[in-house]
Amino acid sequence: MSIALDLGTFRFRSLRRIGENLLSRQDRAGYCVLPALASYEQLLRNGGVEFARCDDSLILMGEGSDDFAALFQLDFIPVVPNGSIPTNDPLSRQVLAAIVDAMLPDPVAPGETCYVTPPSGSEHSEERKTTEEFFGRLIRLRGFTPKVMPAGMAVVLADLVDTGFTGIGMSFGASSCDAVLAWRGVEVATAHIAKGGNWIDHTLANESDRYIWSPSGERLLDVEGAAKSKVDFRGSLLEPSARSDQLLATLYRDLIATLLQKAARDFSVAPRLNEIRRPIPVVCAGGPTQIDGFLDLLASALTSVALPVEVNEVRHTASGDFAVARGSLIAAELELQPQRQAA
Amino acid sequence: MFLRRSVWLLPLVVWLCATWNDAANAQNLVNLPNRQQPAPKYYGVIGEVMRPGVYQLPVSQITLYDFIQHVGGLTEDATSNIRVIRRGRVGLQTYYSENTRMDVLPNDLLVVDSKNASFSSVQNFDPERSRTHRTGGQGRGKGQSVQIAFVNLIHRPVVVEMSRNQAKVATIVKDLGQIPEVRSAIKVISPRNVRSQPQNKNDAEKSLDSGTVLIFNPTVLNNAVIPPMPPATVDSFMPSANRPRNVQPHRSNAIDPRVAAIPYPNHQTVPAPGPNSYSAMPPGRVRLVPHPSPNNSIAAPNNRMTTPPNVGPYNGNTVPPYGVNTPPTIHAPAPRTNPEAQETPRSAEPSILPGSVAATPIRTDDSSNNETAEESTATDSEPSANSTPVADTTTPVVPRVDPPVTAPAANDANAVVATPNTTAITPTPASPAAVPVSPVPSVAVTPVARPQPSESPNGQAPIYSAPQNPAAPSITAQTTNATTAIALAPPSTPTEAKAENSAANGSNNVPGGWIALLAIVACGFAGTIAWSIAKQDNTPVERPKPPRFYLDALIGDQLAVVEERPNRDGVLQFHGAPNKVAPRRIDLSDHDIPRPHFAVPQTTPAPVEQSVPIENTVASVAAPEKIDLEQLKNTQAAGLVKLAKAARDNSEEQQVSSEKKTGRTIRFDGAHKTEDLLSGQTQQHSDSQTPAPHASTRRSRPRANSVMQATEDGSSLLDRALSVVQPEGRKS
Repeated sequence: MSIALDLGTFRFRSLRRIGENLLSRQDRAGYCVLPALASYEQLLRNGGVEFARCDDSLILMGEGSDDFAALFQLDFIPVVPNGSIPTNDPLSRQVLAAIVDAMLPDPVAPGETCYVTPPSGSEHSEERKTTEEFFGRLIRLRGFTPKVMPAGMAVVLADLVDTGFTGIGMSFGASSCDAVLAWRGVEVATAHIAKGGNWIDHTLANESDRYIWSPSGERLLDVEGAAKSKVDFRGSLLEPSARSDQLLATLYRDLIATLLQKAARDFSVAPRLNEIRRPIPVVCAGGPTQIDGFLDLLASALTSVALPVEVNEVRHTASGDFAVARGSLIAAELELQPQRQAA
Repeated sequence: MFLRRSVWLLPLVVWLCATWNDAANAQNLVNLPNRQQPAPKYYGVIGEVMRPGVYQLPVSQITLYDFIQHVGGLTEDATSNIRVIRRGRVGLQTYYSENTRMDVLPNDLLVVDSKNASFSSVQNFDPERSRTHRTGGQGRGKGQSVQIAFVNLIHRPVVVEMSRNQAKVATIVKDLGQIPEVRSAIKVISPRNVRSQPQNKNDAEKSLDSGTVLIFNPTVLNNAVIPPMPPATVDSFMPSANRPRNVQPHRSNAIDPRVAAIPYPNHQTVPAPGPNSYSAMPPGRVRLVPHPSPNNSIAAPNNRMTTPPNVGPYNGNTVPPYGVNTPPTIHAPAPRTNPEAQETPRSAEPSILPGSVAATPIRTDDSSNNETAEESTATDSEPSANSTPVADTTTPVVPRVDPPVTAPAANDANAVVATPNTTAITPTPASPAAVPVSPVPSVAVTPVARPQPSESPNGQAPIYSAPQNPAAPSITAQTTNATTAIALAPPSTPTEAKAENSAANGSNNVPGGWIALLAIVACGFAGTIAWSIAKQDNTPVERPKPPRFYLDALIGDQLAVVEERPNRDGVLQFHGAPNKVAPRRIDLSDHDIPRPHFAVPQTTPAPVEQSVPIENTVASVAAPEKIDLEQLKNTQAAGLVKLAKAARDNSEEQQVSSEKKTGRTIRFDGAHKTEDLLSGQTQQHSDSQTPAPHASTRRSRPRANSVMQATEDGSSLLDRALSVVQPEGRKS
């Protein structure tokens, strides 16, 4: 059995094949803390909500925490804030380990391969490596052998079958974006930026003076409202009319331009660049790409950035939310294929 | 003797067989696109659209905008929020607009939400144009029915419309013939909550909202007992020409000319009826008529999941509905005195309507002699109440020569010859009172080529029961199934009949034997080819099986994704203090902000009159909400040390966050205002001061983090704690 693990800033997903089906698991990457009151505990038990205990608190993890955070006016605490492991929050790390454990089944045999796409919210490779090692330890504790797969490469494997796994895969996440240039299934070059959808939401809330008040009277940045306005966006990112649309389009243009400029620099020094002679497609995945007009904006930006390869089309992934996990699972199956054929 | 003389015919037969096989193969390769035809592409939509239902379109991909336009667009109450249920899970949610670039894939189910808070019924869709299939006898109509969609039940999504009182998981599971344990494996995606929820015992009896999607677990379903589902609507589709093409689509939306004519395995292709007679149909026209399933054709009328079938190409005035259980009554014929009654080919037309039995005007009693032949046919074609399903409905039609059975006495008008189970009508040419009818018991509606009337060498009327002696027709009846679909076999021309008789009797008439042999071989091959085509057409479209190597299926995106819940065993136990610092509100649930601010001022806690020991005070400050004197007394000094260590471990980022929440630091329009909780005064750190909207209502009650902040500032923790417990004017 092979399994793929997509650990995003917003949500964790796992995918594995059992028989003729793909079994998936997904959960929110966060938790909330309730006081350890008997009434709360009874309420959770009646609702069938799983919880954990922590001294004098009740910990709600995953999807349940999202709902109860809204119900009890609690703060939803992400376990991977900004795509990084919280270094000074032991409880968050324990919750993080519990959620990852829940994503993984028991391995059939020891040492099975688990392709993992860890969150990468840092510009520095050392910090990203620390994050990868942290998740690698968690996966090893479950009996799997972790192998790291960049999100962009997973998108290539998932959606560029028709071009022989040749093309550019772009993954726009909540805390980071990356672009991978692949040639025949081989990762040629990778570009990574520590910006994502959260940056857009945060900046949008800041620039548009979006604030809300908590029940205790505190004025807080309304990132949630900014994210919702982003989803409700109607119109064109290329030619925005309203002022708020212009701001949103500017942020998206900045995000895309940052990634493409980084890609232009990193791709230009790729070793196998000369072997890519024909135009290649670009496929993008991730939550920020779901906004109206994203592909138009990306296509427009591609014409203005001098990539070392020629692009013939830009498209969304056809695999939806599980594009990264599915690509990672394909990589795992590709690795197991010689063993199966030999058997 | 016959065999010896016919030896030289063997090569001819072999050559004929080979030629016929080659012709059949060539026909399959050239003219029959079914073998090369891709699987039908189904697209479903439910909710606030004008024509909800499941559509079979000849494109492998379609944009969301085009598909919504194809189904008539959204209703007035529709939101632009469209959820896409793909491979059994809600993985995608988009917004409908002309610029939406999203593609809809085969077997996707779109759910168009309503603006109204009430999901009890569908209000605004067009009931006349709806492509959903209503089930249940009650509660139909606009506003009284609900739309329910099934996913993973069969190979495509299913959208049905049922009355509200039947729209329950328990009822649906029962109607589907499944065991009650299947309920727990069904995920219900209600428009109230887009998350799929597993069913528990109580939820199964609750009425479902309109627009609810039931996602079945195919691994626990008993597919053998699932009744026939409503067929999909076969439509042609032309992509909108003015669709924005700024970005080149990655897949072609070109129309696939190979449209599957069989959208559902419960249907088969039969020639369409002509204006007057079955045999007068133009060649090439096809029409879908229901074909009784061998499993549950009888249970279909009582099954709410079953679509009422189309009537067959019968042109009579009264068409008995499929499955109406009425015992057949075959009346013995009386001697015909009116020669016009024998020349009624239209009335003698066989009906392929399931349940029809008689193909000839067999009511010959005195009271019905003057009735028209159509009425007689319609009356006698009512099916039997005790009928049983057909054993094999795909049996090719092969003429059978049965010994004639003479009818009862001609003057016995009320004689009933039919047995309860089956009835067949056998020609009795020898009897002057018998009407010969081709004996076809329990055969399926098979598109067997029938000779045109002009082909009849003797110019007889185009019915198979054409009497050899028109002056004295009579019928006899054998048993047949009243609910069996009947098709008449090709008529036996006199030449064929002669040949058959010769072959059967072993006659020495050699030319007749050749012709008979050739005819039998030809009929055999024709029947085989027809049977193979019919079988191919009737083969249910099963879920595509993955190839041998799952990697190919995985790459080809052919494996279904089944979602399971994350596995957490037991109640976990964590250790450590929760970090209650949240710089901003992050909950992303889809709800409106309840209020901009609460209007009820919070009461300031009463000043503590009683002095407490210093070592117990600081630890009690760590309690975030209130100060309990009893707790203060019971708290040990170790808590102080623990609190101080925790405060030192905080990073710089966390300090800023702590300051924002507990130190009441608000950054807004460049203003940086800090409210000192300990002193109760507000300090302004910038030129442009934005007044705090509710500074007066702020609590002056300390929090644990404020103590941490004080510690980071380097001041004495004990002094700070003491000042917190004892208000400003009471510091010692």
